[in-house]
Amino acid sequence: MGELSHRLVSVRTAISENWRKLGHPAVLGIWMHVVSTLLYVVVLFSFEIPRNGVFQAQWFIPLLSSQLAFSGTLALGRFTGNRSAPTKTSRPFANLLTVLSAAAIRALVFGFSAAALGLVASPNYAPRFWGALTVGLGLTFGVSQILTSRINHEATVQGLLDTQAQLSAQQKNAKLHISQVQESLKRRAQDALLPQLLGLDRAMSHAGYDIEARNQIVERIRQVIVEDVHPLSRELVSKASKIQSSMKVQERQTKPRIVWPTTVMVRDATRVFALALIGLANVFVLFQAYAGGTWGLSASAAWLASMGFLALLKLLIPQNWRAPFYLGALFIAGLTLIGITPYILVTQLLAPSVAQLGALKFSGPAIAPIISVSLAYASAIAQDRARYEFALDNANAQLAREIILVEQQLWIARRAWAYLIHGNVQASLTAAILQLNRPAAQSTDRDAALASVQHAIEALKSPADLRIDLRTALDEIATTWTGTCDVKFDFAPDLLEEFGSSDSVSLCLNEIFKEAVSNAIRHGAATEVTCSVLKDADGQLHVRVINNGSPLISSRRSSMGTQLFDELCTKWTLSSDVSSGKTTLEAWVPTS
Amino acid sequence: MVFTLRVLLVEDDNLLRGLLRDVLLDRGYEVETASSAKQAIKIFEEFDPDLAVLDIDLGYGPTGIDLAHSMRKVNQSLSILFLTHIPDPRFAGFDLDSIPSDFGYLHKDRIVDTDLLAEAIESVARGRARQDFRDHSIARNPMQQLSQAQLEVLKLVAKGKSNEQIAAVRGTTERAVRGILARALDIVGIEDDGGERRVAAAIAFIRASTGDY
Repeated sequence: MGELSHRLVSVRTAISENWRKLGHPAVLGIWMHVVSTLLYVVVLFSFEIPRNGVFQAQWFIPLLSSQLAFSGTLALGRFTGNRSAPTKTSRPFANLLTVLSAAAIRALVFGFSAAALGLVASPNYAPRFWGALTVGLGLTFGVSQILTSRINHEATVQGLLDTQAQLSAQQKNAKLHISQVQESLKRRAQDALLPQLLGLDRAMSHAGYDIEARNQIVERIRQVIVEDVHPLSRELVSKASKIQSSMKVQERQTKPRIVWPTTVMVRDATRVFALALIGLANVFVLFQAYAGGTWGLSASAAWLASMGFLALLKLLIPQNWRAPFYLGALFIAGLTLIGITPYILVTQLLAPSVAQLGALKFSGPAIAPIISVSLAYASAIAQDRARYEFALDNANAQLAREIILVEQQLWIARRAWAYLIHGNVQASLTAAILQLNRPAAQSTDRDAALASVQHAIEALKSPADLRIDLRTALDEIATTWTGTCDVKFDFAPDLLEEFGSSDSVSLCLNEIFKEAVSNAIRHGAATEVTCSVLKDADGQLHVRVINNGSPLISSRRSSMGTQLFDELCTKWTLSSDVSSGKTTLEAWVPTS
Repeated sequence: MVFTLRVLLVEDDNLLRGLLRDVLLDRGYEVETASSAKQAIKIFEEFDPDLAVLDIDLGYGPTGIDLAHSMRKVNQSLSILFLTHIPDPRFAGFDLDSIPSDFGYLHKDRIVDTDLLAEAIESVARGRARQDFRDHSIARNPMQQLSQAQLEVLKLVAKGKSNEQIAAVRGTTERAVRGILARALDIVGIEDDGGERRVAAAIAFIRASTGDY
């Protein structure tokens, strides 16, 4: 129920955040089709209706349907895709929907166009109408390619920039947080030690010390705390400050830098080559229409064949293939010829007596280069934009990693400070009080008490040893749960060696495993837990803890326990596989 | 036959461990000590204690709470008394359910009174920790009246997060965060006097929590 209401809130937020953007691409899509519709209407009313003396409503049906389908799917894809924009890979469903929508757009546009051509071709074949329709379709297609590319790019970049703005705010927060931590370390030491200092004062009084001696000791401890934040904490806080100040934000690139390599030309020319085959399919439609046959079957077959050809070409030509320029030029020339062929066939072989061939002759050679060049142009821009998006995405990932590294250092500083104050120092003072409070305190007890006080002061002044032996620490986790749960650590020995050489990494891994194992056993009643860690290509550590405990609801809601993961990891997930009965925690830990 | 209480004392600080051991021996208990969870488990298997006195923060190793749960699974009649500097287990990442009603929870400030320590041990060993030996449930500071959600939101405020960022972390709306925060501030007693309530809330949280906030 909680998960459902969480999803409902997300949907509501998405709608409220995106309603403006929802209208944006739909309006653009409609605009593109309105222009092309106007072109058709002009041709219809100028030539066809006066010539035939009748208005044929079916001419509009496929056109309007394709417009609605185009706008609707574009809007839907844009709407769902926008939520995924900040982190493109984090919402595979939304991305899948966008891809499917894009595929639907193309299929519908071409499918309906083919149908429109078939309807127009028979029985009221009109060359001017066909010519205008073909050129209009080509122009619309080209413009829509460029605009769609721009819309997608804007959406993605906007998402990435939004993410970056959030990260920048966190970066600034980190600066504030560092100074807060430094101040709070000092203040908390005073607060934490106050009861001990009062107790010590009472115990010393009880043991016969005069007020001057008591004040001297208490004042000495207070001075050490106030004037000298523990050297180790100071070092860690300064390390965090260094990471924070070295963070850089990727500058926004305002204009695309268009690089038009021949690779793009060749690739897109081949795409158009395949599209031109659809034009050929229409020729067969015309043949059949004139011969009194049916057009649907052959058109569909030609459509499928050309799409298959396109897919094959995409498969065979690698994206980064450096094609020679002449090949691109050759393809364009070939396309122009393909564009001309059907018209020659239709006009010269089938209907040599048809009048007004000018527009028809012009439309054939014009359509291929228009589509080819507009596609290549859109692709060239898209390539540059993709590079920018990639750079922005990388910058964001780097920034997020560095923010977590700052958090890690601060966490270690807080932990070290707390451990020292509440451990060594507080314990030494408590020991001194206990020694002085003994019913018959001897001079040896008093000496021991003073030695304990001195020990507390020394601990406050000297750096604590923060290093842990990862192997021993992990062994301790496994031993603690002996008899309750079988805890296994599945590491390659060389990796364990490598992780163990870094104090920060050792501490982080130890805490993550300690927390994950404890949660699995205490909350999930697990009896088997397996922990592993791998190094990802980007240098982050990929931690995986699999247990056989009761499944937990995967939730990103924060809690006091899970905030440890938020502070030490760039990302973490919790998932349950019902069939295997395993619950898996995955976490990614950045390393400096 | 005189029954002698067998006590397992787990404290990572050598000096305090030695002194507490002496105090407990003086009271007539049979005592074994350990400085870490791993060592404690080994002694637990051989010594079979009636009661375990555990420090919660055992340094970088597993915590006293983990240790208590592990030993309790093996011996369900084992009595547990925590000795800790942590005012509220929630600050150390544990929920309140981690401390069952028969567990004692004594703040280390109080153990300088050895009579009180002995009294706490006797109370917990009888199977029912008296309320005054369950320091985490005593409303010593207003933070302890906060719900888990309120405490989490305050923690994020103390870390300098905006309402929007908190909403993103918690997977909820800004409006919900504003509501939780307003109620938390009322409970903690931070008045809306035109000043900066968030700063006051952050300070209140930092002061109330331990070093692990």
